[in-house]
Amino acid sequence: MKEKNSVSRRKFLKGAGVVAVGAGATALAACAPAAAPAPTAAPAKPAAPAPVVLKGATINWLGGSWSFLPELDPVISDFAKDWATQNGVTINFERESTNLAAKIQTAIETGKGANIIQLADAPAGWAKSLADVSTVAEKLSAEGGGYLPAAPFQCNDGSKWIALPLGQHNWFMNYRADWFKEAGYDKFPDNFDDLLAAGTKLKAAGHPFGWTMGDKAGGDGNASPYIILWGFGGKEFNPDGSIALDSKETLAALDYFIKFHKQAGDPEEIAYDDGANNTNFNQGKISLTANVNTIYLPAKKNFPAVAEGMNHAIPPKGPAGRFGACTLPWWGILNHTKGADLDAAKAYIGDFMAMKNLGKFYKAGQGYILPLLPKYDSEDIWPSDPKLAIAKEMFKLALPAGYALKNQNKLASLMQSKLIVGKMFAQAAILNDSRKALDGALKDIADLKLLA
Amino acid sequence: MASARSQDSTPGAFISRLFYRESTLGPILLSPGFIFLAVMMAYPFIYAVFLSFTDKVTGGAPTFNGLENYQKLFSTDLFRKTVVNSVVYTVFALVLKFLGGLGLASVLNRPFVGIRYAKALMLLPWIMPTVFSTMIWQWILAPGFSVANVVLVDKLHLFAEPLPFLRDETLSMASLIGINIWRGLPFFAITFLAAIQGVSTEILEAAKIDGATPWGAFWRVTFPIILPVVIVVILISTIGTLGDFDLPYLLTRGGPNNSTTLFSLTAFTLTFNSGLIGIGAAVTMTMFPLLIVLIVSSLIMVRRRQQG
Repeated sequence: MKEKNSVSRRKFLKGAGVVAVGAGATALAACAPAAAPAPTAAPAKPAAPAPVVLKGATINWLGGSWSFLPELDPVISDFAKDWATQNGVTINFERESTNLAAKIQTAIETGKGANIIQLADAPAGWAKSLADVSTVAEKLSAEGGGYLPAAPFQCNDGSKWIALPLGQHNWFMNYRADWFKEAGYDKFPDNFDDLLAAGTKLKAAGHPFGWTMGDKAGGDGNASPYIILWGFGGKEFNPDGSIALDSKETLAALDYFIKFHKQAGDPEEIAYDDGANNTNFNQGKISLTANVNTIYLPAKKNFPAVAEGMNHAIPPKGPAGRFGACTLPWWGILNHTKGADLDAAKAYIGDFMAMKNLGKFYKAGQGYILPLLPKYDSEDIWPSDPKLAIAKEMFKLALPAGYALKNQNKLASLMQSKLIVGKMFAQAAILNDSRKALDGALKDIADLKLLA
Repeated sequence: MASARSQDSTPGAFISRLFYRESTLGPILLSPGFIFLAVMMAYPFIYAVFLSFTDKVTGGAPTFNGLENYQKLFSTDLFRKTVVNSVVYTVFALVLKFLGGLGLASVLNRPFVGIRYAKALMLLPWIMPTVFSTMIWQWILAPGFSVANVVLVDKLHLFAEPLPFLRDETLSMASLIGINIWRGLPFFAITFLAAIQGVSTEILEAAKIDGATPWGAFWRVTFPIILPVVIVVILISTIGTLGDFDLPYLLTRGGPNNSTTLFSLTAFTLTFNSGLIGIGAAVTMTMFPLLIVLIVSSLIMVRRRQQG
């Protein structure tokens, strides 16, 4: 296995990386509605790699299984098996879904066990325990035409890369095109006002919307609220790190959701967990939700009538523009990994995430996980099913939680883990009072700031 | 003589002597359990006490910060809610489990057809793994597909609208308490039943002859006799209920709006989801004064009762 190790070049790339991250973050903060964020770094020519001895190294990989799309697990495992054989490295996989954070904490505190971890929450929360993977990130970024801003925003702490994004989950509008048509909508509504009007009609016809809000869904609940919040111009942070949530734009977003919930929403949408919108959609209880493709793919097998009647769309436009929400699953190397094991871990990730290999992962996901490198635009990784064609439109549109920080920080990660924004929307609907809900969220944030 | 002395000093002879003497046999027999408790219980506990006075976060070194974690905790809404929720959850669940268990034990103390099956069925919630039973309850109360709502609204027409079991703060806590009672009632009932069946029939006959009504005989004769058992059961259940983790974690994740978060869940989320290990340890420590008061007062009551 090979890895570049030219010191002077590394220094150069680090400097370039910092500039690139700054540029990317600025682009993210200033992301104009519906505008594709600019790539972060100009592609650099890879330096001549020097040989690194990997034989005999051991990598322990710890992460959740891809429970919503199990076809992805073998893509990772099969590559690892071949790569391990070719390089004389032992790779052990441990897939843990229910107690992953505790297992990772144990590995960190004991300095033993996992070397590579896979998570979907913000790496900023684990920053003290993650090794610098800037060399790998810069190589991958260069190969793919420069990471989209969401990648350095989440995986770079401002001075170095602490994690490597595997891709991004984008939340598409999953809607029942057949019911929308019955209600007089041949096309998916382009803005939030039209969406509310459509939802009012559809709820009256017995087909409410199901927009996951609240504090029970760590996946959907950390994406759905942002589509509305950002669409109305609200945001959690200013670029300097100060809290920006207390604004008339946030109140406008909350007011909208109060109406949306009353007139168009399933009463239970504010108590959904991550599986509830999938189940309700496939059971014909709701006509719209924000989700990845994990409603449609199972529906094709198990609920063909639903699959036939549904379609996907990009999120509607609000007064501040059109925003998609994404979360970035990532891999990181725990910083107790040293010597040959560290070299092997970096080499393995670098090879797996190289475009020719990671492309297979994206292809298998059929839109479930999308790339963060613009060169994939022309690669054969996109879903062939026309109902998932919007994946290509979405992948440059979405932002992760924490907007408009320069880089996600510890507080942003805590706010995600406590689902503060989703809870704020749910509370607004419950209390029928935007101000009280916002005050509650601000108090929650103040508590988190105090504790952290 | 010299030969006998040398035999006495062999390791085998020395070990034999240790096992022979009462003064050494006791400590030897106790030592495996003591070592196990010291390593598995005392050390983690003492380490948790230490961590609660530090600023330990995931991947960082602990630095002593005195009472800062406690000061921070006491000024957060999250902690205030955690304390109130834990007390409400524990008090309601215990009182209702106690009353229900006593009632059920009294019913099962009278012979009726199928009593054996009734006892076996009654034990099911208790012996069922909590993860499994909570998943069933999740399905029963789930948003959108609540089996309970289908029965209450569609079949029995008792309510016009579905009840927001896991959406409303009060109903979520009530659901949690209800499931805790369902799960813990068999333990109370079966233990009370065993205690009641241990009460001498002669004493009860004597009370009857003296004119005691069944109700009077129960409260003035049976209950005082089984009181030590009652206190121990309540004590054990208090410790379990106050520290309950799996039920709120699996059913509500502490929501909505932190309305069902309890000590263990708050400590867990702060420690493992937020990486605030020192703060999380401080949350667990705040349980102890309450538990110590309960344990000591219960033990005093039992001792007084036994002496009386």
